[in-house]
Amino acid sequence: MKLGVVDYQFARGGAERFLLGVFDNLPPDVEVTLFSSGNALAGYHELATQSRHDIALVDKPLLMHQSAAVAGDEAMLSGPQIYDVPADIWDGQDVVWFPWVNRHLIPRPCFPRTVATIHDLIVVELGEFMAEKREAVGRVGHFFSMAMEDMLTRRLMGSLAKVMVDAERTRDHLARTYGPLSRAPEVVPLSTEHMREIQPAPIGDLGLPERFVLYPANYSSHKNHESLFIALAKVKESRPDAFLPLVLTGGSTPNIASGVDYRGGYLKALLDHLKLEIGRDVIILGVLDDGRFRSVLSRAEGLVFPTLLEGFGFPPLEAGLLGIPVACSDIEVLRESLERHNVPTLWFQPGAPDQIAAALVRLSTDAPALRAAAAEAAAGFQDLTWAEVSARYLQAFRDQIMMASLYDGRSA
Amino acid sequence: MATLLHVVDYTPPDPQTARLVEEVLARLPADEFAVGIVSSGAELDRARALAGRLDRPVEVHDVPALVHRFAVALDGDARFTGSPTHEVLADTFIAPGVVWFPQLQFHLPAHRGLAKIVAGIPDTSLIEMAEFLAEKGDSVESATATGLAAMADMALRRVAASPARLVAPSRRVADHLAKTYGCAPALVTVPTPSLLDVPAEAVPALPAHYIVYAGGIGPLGNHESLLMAQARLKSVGKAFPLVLAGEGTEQVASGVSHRGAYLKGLVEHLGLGLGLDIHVLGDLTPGELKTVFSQSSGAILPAVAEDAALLAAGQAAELGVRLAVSDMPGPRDYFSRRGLSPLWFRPGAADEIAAALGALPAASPHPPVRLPDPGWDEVAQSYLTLFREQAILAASQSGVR
Repeated sequence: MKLGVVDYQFARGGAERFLLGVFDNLPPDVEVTLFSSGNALAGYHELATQSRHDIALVDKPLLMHQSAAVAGDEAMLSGPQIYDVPADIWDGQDVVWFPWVNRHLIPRPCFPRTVATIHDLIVVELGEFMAEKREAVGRVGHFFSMAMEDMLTRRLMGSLAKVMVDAERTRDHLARTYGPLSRAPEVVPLSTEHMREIQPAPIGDLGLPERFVLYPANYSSHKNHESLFIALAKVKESRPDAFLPLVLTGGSTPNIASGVDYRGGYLKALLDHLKLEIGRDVIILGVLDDGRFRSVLSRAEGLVFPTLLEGFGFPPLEAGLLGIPVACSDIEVLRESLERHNVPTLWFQPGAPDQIAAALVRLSTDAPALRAAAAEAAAGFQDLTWAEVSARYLQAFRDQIMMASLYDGRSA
Repeated sequence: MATLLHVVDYTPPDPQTARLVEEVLARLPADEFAVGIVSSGAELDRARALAGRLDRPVEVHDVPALVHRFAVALDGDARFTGSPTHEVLADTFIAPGVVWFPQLQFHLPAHRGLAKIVAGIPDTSLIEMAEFLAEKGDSVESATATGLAAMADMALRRVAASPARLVAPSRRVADHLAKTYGCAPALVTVPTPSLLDVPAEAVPALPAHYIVYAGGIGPLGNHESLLMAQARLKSVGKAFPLVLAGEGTEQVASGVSHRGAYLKGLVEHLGLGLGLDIHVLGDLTPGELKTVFSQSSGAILPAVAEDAALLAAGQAAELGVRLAVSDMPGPRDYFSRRGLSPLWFRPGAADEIAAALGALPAASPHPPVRLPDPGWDEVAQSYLTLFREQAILAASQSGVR
């Protein structure tokens, strides 16, 4: 099988694990050619060296659509880009896979030989909210990506492409919003298998307090740091005996300490306003490598996850796998994944700081019981392997090749 | 105390919308509505000129909007493209009791103001035909069509799901808005700008007999199907000279733009002779258009969406010109409501267009007759009612807040 893979974004973190998990377990007769360009291609060069499967990389520059904010005589391009994928990428490929299809504009005639994975539609679903949280240029970019992703998803869902998702909730959302669908997206949950293989690394140099709770997330507005900070301040004020410092990991969280950008400045000001001290009440670690992250997670009294929306939500599952107590947002997708694995969870409404505060207090005061329950659940934690995930994708590629041959026959 | 009505428009209005604004504002009772116009940049002069023409006090406010532009980028080079979208900020909505967007397209109003808005949706072709437009353009035009459609769709979704009141100019557009966006727009039909009272102006070098298509050369104009039909007639020796008038039609001869070059190439490919089978006139004044229509043996409208060409066809009908028109809900609604029965054809069927072209010269002409459109008094009364209702709604919403 000749499998073309197209991605011009190369998201770090969960997406890398997903790609390695699928590539590493493909049979040798699947010839993988990956098309990308710029920084994304540089990321894929790195990933290709880690993969056990041969990946041919092709530098394929393309036309990108962007937006700009204009005020008076000044204009500034905003970040999000839409990738106008040229049709000749499909030449010589049996099927072309978009492992992160958002923001890729696929030529309509190429849909029948396309498999596309939608991990989430957060930018569209929470678009208005997220745009309001941005400064002018960021807002312009956000509206642009919201409008474009919505339109691209409409095109995709009305096409003959095969769509894969990580969660039933995402499938149901697509059906509700873009349906009726002639073919429901196929749900293939991601695997947490990699977490078992990661070796803990020393973290003595991080200067962590003896007890703490952990929130691993970038500072995007849908991660809802503000509600967590308000809850933390409530606990500090009303239950100082149960107060645990909050450790933040994840890309862009250092900007909360430095306040160098709009979102970072906003969250820093909020911490100041709430009289939460960075370095003492809130400890910001930024991006950690896998080994150090595992060590930090293992030492935490609990993982708190107040996100407003996720496509899958790796961190609570990883915590469940390691027997770390979890307190998290009562949202559909997290209910789906945590209940599937019987992870004991303290649920709260993400917009209710009082509920989050109550969960933080319990993570502190009920720590032994919560840890015991989490450890018991972790002992029985069952999950798909990456080999199984990869096999499901391989079958999807084969199905789509078959579908495309029928379509080609019909059009001939 | 009079309710403050602000007219917000940051885009160059089409002549029909400009006329609508002027006619409505001229008729609003001064003791009930105080009027301001909000705009910025190049449009301010137009707003001031309008304020000067009106026989009532009108304040013009220079309120800059945040402008969203599209850009295409390749290998480090970026280029702006397409019409800007104007994000109308929340402050704009504080003072007035009602805010009228005569054309919502290319505006993104703040949430805070939605309950005060009466918004005209002249047409939705940009969104409905986005894929088609993208396929017909060069790479930059394609990106433009895609981006503009996405933004216009998003803005329309925002407004349609709000307490704002949308206004559609035709049953077809109103039905589309209801089906696609789940809203119930008001239907206010505006009069077709008549050529009956316009003095005719000379147009040199017209053939003795011809059929005319008055419409811009954008892809929605569907000149390709018309040219193919003309070629079919020519192949059987029945071609009648075809005159193309309207924005950009001169490019069919010069081939200077992507679209012009495409149509020029098509003309050559089909073996049609410019100046023989096809005559191109470019954009015309109303007086010139009247001459071209009046001397024609018929007019044809093969467009695949309603746009200015539909109005031109209405003007031709009013002059008594025989018509053949794309069989689509918009034109059907437009002509049947006015008691007119043109020849119908499917716009994608060149054979049917050829048959219509062949039949037009033999069809019976009718005498010039004024279209039974509503007058401006009636239109202004409809808007007055909408403004009153929206002012009440907005006041009740702010009470809730």
